[in-house]
Amino acid sequence: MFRVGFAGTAKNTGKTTALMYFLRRASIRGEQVGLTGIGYDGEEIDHLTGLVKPRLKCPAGTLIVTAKGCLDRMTATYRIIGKLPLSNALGQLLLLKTISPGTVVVAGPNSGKDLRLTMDFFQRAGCELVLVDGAFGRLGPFVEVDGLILATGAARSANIINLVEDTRAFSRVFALPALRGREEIQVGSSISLHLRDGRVKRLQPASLVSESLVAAIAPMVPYASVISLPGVVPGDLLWQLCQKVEGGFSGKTMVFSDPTKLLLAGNYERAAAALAMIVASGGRPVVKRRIPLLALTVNPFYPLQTKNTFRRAFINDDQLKEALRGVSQVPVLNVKEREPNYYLDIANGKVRSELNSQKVPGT
Amino acid sequence: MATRKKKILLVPLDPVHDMGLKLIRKALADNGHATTLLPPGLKVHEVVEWIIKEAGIEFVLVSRTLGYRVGELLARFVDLVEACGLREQVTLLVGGMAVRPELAAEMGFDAGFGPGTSPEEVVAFIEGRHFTPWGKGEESSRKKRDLTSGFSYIYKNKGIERSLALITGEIIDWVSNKTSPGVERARIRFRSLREGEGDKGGGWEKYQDYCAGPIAQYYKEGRLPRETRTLSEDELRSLRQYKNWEGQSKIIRPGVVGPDIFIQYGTGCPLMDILHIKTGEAWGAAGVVHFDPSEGARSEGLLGGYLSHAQDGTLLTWENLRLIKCFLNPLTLWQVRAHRGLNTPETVVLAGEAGADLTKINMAYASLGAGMDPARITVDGVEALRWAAHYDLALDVVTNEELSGVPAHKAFAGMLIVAHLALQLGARPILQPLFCYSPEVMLQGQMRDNYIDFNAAKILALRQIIAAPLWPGAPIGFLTHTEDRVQSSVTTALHACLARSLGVQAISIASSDEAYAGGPIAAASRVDTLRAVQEGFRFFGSANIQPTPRAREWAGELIDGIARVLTDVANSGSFVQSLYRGLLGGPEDGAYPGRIGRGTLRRKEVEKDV
Repeated sequence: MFRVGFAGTAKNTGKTTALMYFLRRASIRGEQVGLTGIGYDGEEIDHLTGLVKPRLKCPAGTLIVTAKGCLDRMTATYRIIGKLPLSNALGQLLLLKTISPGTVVVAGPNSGKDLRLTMDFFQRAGCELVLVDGAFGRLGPFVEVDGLILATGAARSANIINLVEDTRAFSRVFALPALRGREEIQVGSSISLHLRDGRVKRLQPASLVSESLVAAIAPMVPYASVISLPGVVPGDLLWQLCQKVEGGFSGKTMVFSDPTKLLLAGNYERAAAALAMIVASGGRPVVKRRIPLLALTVNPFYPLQTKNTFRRAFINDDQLKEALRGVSQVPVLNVKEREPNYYLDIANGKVRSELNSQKVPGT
Repeated sequence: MATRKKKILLVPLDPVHDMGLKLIRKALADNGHATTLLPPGLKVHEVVEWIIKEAGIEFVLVSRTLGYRVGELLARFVDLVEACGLREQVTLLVGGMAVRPELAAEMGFDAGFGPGTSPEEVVAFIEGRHFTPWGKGEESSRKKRDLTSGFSYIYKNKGIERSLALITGEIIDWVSNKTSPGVERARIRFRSLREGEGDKGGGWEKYQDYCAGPIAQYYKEGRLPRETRTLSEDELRSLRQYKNWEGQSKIIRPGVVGPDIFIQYGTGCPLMDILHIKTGEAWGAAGVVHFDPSEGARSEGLLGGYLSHAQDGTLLTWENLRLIKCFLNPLTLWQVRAHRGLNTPETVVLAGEAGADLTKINMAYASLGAGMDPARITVDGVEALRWAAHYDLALDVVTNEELSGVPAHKAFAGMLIVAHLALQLGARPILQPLFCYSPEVMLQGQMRDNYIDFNAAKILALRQIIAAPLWPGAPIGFLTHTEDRVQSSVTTALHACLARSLGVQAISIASSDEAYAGGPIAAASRVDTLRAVQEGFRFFGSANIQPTPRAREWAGELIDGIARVLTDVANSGSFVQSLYRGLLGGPEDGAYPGRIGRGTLRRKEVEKDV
């Protein structure tokens, strides 16, 4: 079973549109698809802006995990296959199978642990591909997927230059290499520094959430060969740590749990800059678990606020796509373009082009 | 079982406001829970630090006014809590302006509390209880209210009672050998619904023999009348989303602390009606009244199917009524009015079978204010009262002929005759005096100084006659409304507060655009008056409105007038002739006996048991 998350850099960046595109493609290919989301998706009107949103349309035969409170809002007919021992703000989670195509409303597990359990249900129901819709800019639960498709666009920033830098930073963090198989580094549940004399210094908590922790770690770094930061590492604080460490990171391995932990606090550029500084000074940042970035999707739409209301606005579509093409090694798609012909290759865990059955450049 | 005490972190992420959280903290503390209220304006990672530092936190309640980009901030907070390994330990709640359960789910929170949430609601959630707006532990005792409960119907005015006994005895005797197409259709409908399948079986094939005009044409040719159409499958399916709507809305019930508030629907389309009902329920209506089209009351027979038409009033069909019933909150009182047309008995049968709680019957008003032939409606009305008794439907006896100019004492005399007749036949009547600026008071000046005294006098007078439930209507404040929505809401609220002060059982209210809508009313206007009434009730609390001594004087005059009219009717020896002759309101009052259904009565051939 191949699990793909659709994350967005912000609300309204086109996660749902991207998900629907790949859902449609998978359906045409006859694959058994599972669908869920870590937020709430499928509403007609955006809860915050009041603008009309694309409805989540689903073909017959799709397996869906959503909350009981969403059922009355769907036009697709369905059969309830199972009940999960989980709930969210809209009630208990249920496993459904659509009988006829129609719109669906998806509000699934809201944490990584619940998403893991949900995946077990999909696995037992015979899913080959599970698509997980994101919410706002949330990344946390996506530690449970095998690959991520990132939706970005003008809703994150209407300034193309800023958007390019932001996306480049995101891609760099997701491009961090994994620990090599033979490396046996004990990365426990707390911050730890493996000193050259064999001792291991541990600090609580696991996350680098305060400047005082930065101040405590920085003096020990010159004596360490491995610095393990298993929890959240806000870009700002990692940057501060880099500034405070004397002598750089030459010969040192810095281990993070996974790429999301560096991005949760939001400032992607600062996180990428800190990583670049570590590399530049001879250090080796790695993640314990890689989450491959499979593709970038771009959306020129953004809600423009005028006094107390919002209206639809767009930046230049072609300029946006062109500007983002060079920032990452993965395909950059505008899934609203006519027939872009990409699909999720379950066997190889890639996004591929259907037209020539060739590997998309960069994947 | 005592609730285990919880540890709660209250987080005002809003840069300034934390008043809501302070109120919630007090409610939590009152229930013995431990709370920590953080200072406003912390960054999300600082809040996470607090959760880590304060061991044993089980709930985190974040308060934040939502706007664009704030959603991202809150979602990031949820992510940080999870990434720091705290998600298993804490339940995350969010509250504030614009927060809805869907948005809370979207941001990853476990629950969301929007504007108007009471601190008790949050406490209930934290304690794992289902919240009910009418108080802790009272949900199971909250039942649909019976407006007639506790009333003895004992007369205090024995003279009036004697006149009513004479009049109603005469009516029952007079109708005993008569029948009408309306009476026959009601019986066929009953048998068909009980023995057949809606409009099949149970002798249904004879139904069309008792229909006339466009209805007969429909049953013969299958052609619907002009501007009438069947609802599509898609339209019916679209209703599914509203099935559990009340579960997501804030149900405020002013009826819990005052008279039950009824709203009236009848847009012409059952789908729109359902939206009006759900809106009304969500904003506090305890009951809803089905308005049928006035044209339908003038045709012999009722159509069938899920029908919509481009006129005021929603067509009375078995399917329309069943559809509407499906979407009613189980606690909502449902009245299907039957009072004024050729289909009165059949409407009561449909209402009873469809599960209505109340109906509305008044032969005097139907004759004098709604164009019905007195003889025909008297026969049909008695039959309708028998059906109401059969289904145990309480019924109000409305006095809308006042709006034509009939003085209150004459209208009340007619109302008391019908109410007494209902009691004789085993039904439960509710008296419905109007709270209105009627032509009578415009001419006589009883409301020159205030709207209180004469309305209060009506209640005082009726209470001095009989111990019966009272339901001023319909709607209250009739003819005091203008096209100004604020004025309209205020006058409705003030009349509602007067009704509450007088201790009546129910009131019917208009929307703020009802008098001048010129078509279907707007849901927002519906909310206007419900909110206005709610505020009025809140304002007065248990304080009362004090009428001037004129109220008692007018009450005495009303009682004398009613007694006089009833004596005249009793002495005339014929209720029907009294209607023709204007004893209960005549041309000098602006009331004319109607002609609809004249000449349609037949001698009853075989007595059939109902």
